[in-house]
Amino acid sequence: MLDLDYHKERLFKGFYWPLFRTALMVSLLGLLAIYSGSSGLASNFAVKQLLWLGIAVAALFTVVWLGYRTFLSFAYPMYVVSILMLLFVMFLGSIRLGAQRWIHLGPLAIQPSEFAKIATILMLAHYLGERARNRYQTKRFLVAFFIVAFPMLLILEQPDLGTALIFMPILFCILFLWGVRLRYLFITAGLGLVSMPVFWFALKEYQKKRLLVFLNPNIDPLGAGYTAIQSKIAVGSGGLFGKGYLHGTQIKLNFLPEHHTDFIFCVVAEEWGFLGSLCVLLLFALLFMKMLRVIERTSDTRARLIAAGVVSMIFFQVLVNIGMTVGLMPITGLPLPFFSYGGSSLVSMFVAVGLLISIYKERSIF
Amino acid sequence: MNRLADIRLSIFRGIVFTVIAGLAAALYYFQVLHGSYYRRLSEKNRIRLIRVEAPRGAVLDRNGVALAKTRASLDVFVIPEDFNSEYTAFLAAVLEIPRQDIEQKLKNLRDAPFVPVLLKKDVTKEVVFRIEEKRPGLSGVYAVIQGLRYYPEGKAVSHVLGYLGKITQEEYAALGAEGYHFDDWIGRSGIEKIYDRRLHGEDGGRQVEVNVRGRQVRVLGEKEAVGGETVALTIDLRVQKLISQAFGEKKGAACILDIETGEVLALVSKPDFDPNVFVSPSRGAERMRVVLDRTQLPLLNRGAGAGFPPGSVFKLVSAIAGLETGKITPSTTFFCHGSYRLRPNSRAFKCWNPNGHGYVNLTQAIERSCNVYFYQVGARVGVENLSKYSHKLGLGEFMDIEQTNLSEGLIPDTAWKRARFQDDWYQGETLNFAIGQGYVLTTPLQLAQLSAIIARDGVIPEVHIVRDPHRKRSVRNAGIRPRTIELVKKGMLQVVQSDRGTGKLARVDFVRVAAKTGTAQVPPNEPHAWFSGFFPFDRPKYALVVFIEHGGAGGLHAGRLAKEILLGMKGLGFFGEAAPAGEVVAHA
Repeated sequence: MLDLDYHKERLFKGFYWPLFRTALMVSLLGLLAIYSGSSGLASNFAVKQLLWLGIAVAALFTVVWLGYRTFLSFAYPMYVVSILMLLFVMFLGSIRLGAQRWIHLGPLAIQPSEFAKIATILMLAHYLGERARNRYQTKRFLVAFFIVAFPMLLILEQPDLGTALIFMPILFCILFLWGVRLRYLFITAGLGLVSMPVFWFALKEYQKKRLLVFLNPNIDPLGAGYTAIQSKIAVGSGGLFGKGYLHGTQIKLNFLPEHHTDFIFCVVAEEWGFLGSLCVLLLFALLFMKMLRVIERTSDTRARLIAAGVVSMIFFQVLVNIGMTVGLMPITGLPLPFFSYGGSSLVSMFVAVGLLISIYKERSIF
Repeated sequence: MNRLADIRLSIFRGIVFTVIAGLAAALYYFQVLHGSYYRRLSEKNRIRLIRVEAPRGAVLDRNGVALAKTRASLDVFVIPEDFNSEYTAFLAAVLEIPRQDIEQKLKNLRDAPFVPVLLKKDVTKEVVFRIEEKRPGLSGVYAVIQGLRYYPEGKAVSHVLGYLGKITQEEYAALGAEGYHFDDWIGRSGIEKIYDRRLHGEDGGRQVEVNVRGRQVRVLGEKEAVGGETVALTIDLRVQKLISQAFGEKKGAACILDIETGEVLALVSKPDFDPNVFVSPSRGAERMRVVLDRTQLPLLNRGAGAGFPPGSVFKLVSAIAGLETGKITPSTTFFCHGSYRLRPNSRAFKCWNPNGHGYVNLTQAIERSCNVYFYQVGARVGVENLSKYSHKLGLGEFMDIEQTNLSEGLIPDTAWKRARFQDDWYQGETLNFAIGQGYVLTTPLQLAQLSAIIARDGVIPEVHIVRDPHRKRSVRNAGIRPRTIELVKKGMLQVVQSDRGTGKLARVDFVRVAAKTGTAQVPPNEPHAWFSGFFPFDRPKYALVVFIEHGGAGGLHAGRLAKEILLGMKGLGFFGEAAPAGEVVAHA
């Protein structure tokens, strides 16, 4: 009995319910969108996603119960494990849609890159948070850069350009909030721009096409530009009020591919119109507000850096994913957090939220 | 240090919410400001309009026999997605088209594999059976019945009916709003052209929703096609065919008019063409031969669309002009010694009979077609009167008949000559004019009408070829005195009935025919042969004209052909016990 009370307190005392509720609401909205988006397909992904949501919520509570400090103390081994998983996927993973991203565990297919993101955030927070920012900045900066570079290069090799590139803003945000001198960030950004031509040749053919098509979708309207055009049509044709739930023609008739995963936002935009899109954006804004409040409330530098990493990860995925549906961003295979169908992404998002709730909960300890 | 962290956090927060606001603005731009534009694009994506072609209206002869109709054509289509490419070679062999054609057509539509592709039009039933037999293998290949214009009588009525062609871009731009489709057929000549709007009908359509691969999901709306109207002609197919056969390989034209009603019973032009070659996909080579034949000009309607020198048939006009102007009287006689000189030292205008006809009066001059008599009539009447009476009798005038590319012929006068040649009219030209030579040109249909006017005592028949109950009737009269007509008629009767008549070869024992022959000189070629008349003499019912291009002497060749036609008509019951079938229908 005493045990139970202890665990209850360990789990729920100071639990940041508003953040949990917001994350859950976004996910449920996503579930509705997946239901509509997959209604024409052979299997309905909404049911599967509901199971994943259960797993994700369980994972969140586990994380909260364990506490973010536990994670920080295991940051090194977790980081190493995630690198090993990425290496494993590189040599033994299954190929889907031309990329090696998945590890199959029985009926589940998991994406190590999703966990690598969390592990890297923890690793960065652990490394930088323990160190004062007024000495050895160059060394700190370079170490942080290499911490990110390993998983990023491995993911780039899969190839998963979108997920790989999301590591850069995470690194920048964590460094920024840690207090790195701005010149380091500017120099890195400058070097990145200068070395772009080199990266261009390292890209796969389809990635190059996607980028070219981003600049002008009409160079290949039935090939690489097709999705960009159809996605814009789907979003734009939603109008103010949308075509009605389950009545999106672009989706129903399959003019837009991948509409339960990467282009899930098109379902919202087409069927619920601008008002629906705005609701989703406002929910995300609410989510960020709560998360930023967590940063504000805590004085533990490592905790602040974890939170900063999580917020920037989710924020840039939202920006790139929604931006891509209207042609403001190139098409990369980045899922919309909490929304897109996919267990790994959902679980890792809830784990991240769990870390933030744990930070909020344990802020008063010292 | 904490201050720095707080400032940076505020900056970070600022960036996050600014970007979210930016995304909201972008969505507002696409969804609200440009929503209707993208809505249109999405509708265009999913909605296909499938045209259901209206069957073109039929054209019937006066007895209800179909001259043009729409028949079923079996067109073979393939749905690329459902087709097994192992069978390409077999399919190519069955359809008798190159293998590469099929491969090309399949390749072109890789992005919409459920959109049917037309492989071959108008195949035989046997081809469809062979495809059906190979069913499990040849899946995705199927035949669709579509309408195709068909002329069951082939060449027999070619010029009257005309032919069809694919609508041009310019025509579509002009007519697209009136229910024409960019891939439509449109009448290019004849009845097909003039009655195109009525025959065309109104296309129907099906609005279907398709998915991204072109497969039909559901029908959104449907509009029935309204078939074109039926057009009934005054043509009697039996007479038309009879004349066509009588002509054989000869060039020329013939026409039979119902004098009272103005109905055209037959209008034949030779050489003819088969209008089917213009619509049958497999007869492209024949089509090119017809269109490009510059020597035979098979597309030219010689009956109504081209003027020829009328020769002596024109003497009927000269006679009427002479009598009406009072320059000659019924008893005026001239002496013909084989030629005529305006002045003693000017050149001699010859009669066709070098020995001369001696003293001849008007009826005898018509009977024997004496040139010298009409030279003197012409000299007295003058070019302006000849021209005036020609126009009164419908020559040099466009006919109001439902045919295309009509010719008005040519009736010269001094003003015309001045405008055309910047030269004076010479009196010698008047003499040639008076016997239908020189500049004068008439169409065979005009000369049929001329005989009809004489037969009806000056009433101009309303010549028409379409039975249209709404047609307005107007009675026009050439205003010729009865006495004049009577004399000319008498002369025409003698042409056939008298042993000295130039048209005696056309004489038959079952009906009295009155006519005038003509042999129009067109050196260096053989002269044109003419025969224009009416029958029965006592109660005129039909006018007949026969024109043989470069056919030789009119009395001989055109006369013989006229007789053949008369005999044929008798065989059809036109003069016999039973009334001709056309009559029965006409009064029914």
